[in-house]
Amino acid sequence: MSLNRDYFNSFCSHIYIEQSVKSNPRTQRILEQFPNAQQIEISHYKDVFCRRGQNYRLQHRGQSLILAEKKGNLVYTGAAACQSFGNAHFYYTSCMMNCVFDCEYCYLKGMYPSANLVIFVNLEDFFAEVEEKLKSHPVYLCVSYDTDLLAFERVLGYGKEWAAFADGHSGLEIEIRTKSAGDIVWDSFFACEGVVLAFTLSPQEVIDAYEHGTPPLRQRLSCVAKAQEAGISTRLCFDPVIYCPDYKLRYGELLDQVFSIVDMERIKDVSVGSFRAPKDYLKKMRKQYPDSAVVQFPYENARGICQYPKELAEEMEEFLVCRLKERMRKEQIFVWNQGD
Amino acid sequence: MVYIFTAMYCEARALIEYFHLKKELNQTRFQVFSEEDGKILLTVMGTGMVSAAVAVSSICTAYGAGQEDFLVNVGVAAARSATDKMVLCNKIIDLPSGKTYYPDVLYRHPFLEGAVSTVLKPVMELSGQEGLFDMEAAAVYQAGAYFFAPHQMCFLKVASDHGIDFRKVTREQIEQILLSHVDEIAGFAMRLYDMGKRTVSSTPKVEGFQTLCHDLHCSKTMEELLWQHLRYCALAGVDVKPVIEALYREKKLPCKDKREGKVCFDELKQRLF
Repeated sequence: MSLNRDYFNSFCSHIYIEQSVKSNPRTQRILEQFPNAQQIEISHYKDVFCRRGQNYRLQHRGQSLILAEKKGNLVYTGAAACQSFGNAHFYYTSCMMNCVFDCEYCYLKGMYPSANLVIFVNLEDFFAEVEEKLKSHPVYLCVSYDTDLLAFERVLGYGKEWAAFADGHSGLEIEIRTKSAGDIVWDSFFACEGVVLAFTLSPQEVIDAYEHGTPPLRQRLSCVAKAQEAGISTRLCFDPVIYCPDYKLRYGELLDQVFSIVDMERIKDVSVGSFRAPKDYLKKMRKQYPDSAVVQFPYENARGICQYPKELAEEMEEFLVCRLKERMRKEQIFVWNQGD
Repeated sequence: MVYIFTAMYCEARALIEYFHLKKELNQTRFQVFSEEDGKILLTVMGTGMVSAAVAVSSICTAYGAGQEDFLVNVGVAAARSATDKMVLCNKIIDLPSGKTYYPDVLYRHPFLEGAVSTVLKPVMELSGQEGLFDMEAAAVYQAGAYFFAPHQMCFLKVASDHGIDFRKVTREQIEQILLSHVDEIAGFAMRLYDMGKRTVSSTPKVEGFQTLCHDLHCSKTMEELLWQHLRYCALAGVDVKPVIEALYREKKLPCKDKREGKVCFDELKQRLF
């Protein structure tokens, strides 16, 4: 599909605003950063986000922004396809939906009907729900699952708000997962109790082929090193591991680069997981991306989760785990499996 | 193809002349105009929501509107503060039902943007009301949504009156208003046509698929699985030909029955990954 980017409107050229949040200070702050955007008033974010027949792929070429208030349940129990890192009380939350990066294999493409970015401006309500949970037990909370919060940090500042919240609440550990690598990511602000920055890493060939718009590997690794210098608790995520015929060479080179740039002794832990996606999501992804190799791989369906054939998945994961054990204790290496 | 819909002939005339459209004589319910190379099809729907919905659904069904096509609704509207600028509507309010629709505005365009409210009969009193008022857009959107995604529908409206004076506006004046915008509308329509041609993803061609299916004695499920394997290989640049040729050389293909076919398919998968 060859498309001229000039044909598309620019990023955030259109901002849809729920009437109820129009005067919210966060809404105003966000709008100030896009002075030329068309502002369109809406009643409810789903009126735009959940329209029938939207083209995710084309919308991603010129994403619009939707500013809204999230109601109902705001903190969810961790999904089966996600890594809990041994935490008993594993939750995730989505104060932002969708991502500025355009990774072909991303499950969001199958989960959401729209590629537009939704930002919930009532962050205090999210905090209040977490505080409720903290009254009964410790909480491990992933705040950047259905998005990449730090990739939008300059506009939104939610990473810092979550870090400040975590710092003030014992029993709370938050994970902020990212592929971004700007200086805002290794801000010493994140060097506080209860915050883990998790960096997703892939071989440069995988980044070039499938992780459109993301920073190159070298930049991500340099960012990890700077975060370590700033005293930030860091996690490395080799997840998803993507199959390619020469994966041992590619992932071997990736680990060589990691070991040469990152201080592995200061890494909190790592996760390893080969690509997997719920069957229904993959079906939608295949429809939207008929020419994407990573989406069209003949995955096997195991209890509703599509994944690489068992032997291949185990072989790839084992390869990474073996190499990681050269530099880390095995207790620090978390491998996703469906029984988790 | 770009499907242009107008309510009245006087809204269509400038475009008919610009694109040198010819009337389709086999269409009797609506006036339909097309050009030789099939890029533009213009339909005069008649005024009001029912005419609009019927015209859009019947024409789009008859001509097989699909994912590389666009719908463009062009027409005049009432506005309190009349402007001579053409407006691309990013919000369509169906006033009778209270529902609101949002066409995606993905592509760059030369127009102003705004909202249009669709009403059942001409609006006489517009004081205190913002935006444009027409009698078709919401119905065109709702009918169009059966054939088009939200990014494939565009609504271009230009103010012709202030409501109270709508009876004073003549057909000739409407023709003139549309004529003054015909270049930008036509230019935009051609860009959409161009985009439609470019945005449809194609699935890769897999040579020898049918023969292989036959030689493996594939069931329907196995055929789909085989297709998924070969499709991936084609996309990932994995050369599957030597693997299949080796199976023929080793006399593992063609298989004599389904059971043997299943064993052979498992071996093919093993050799691929």
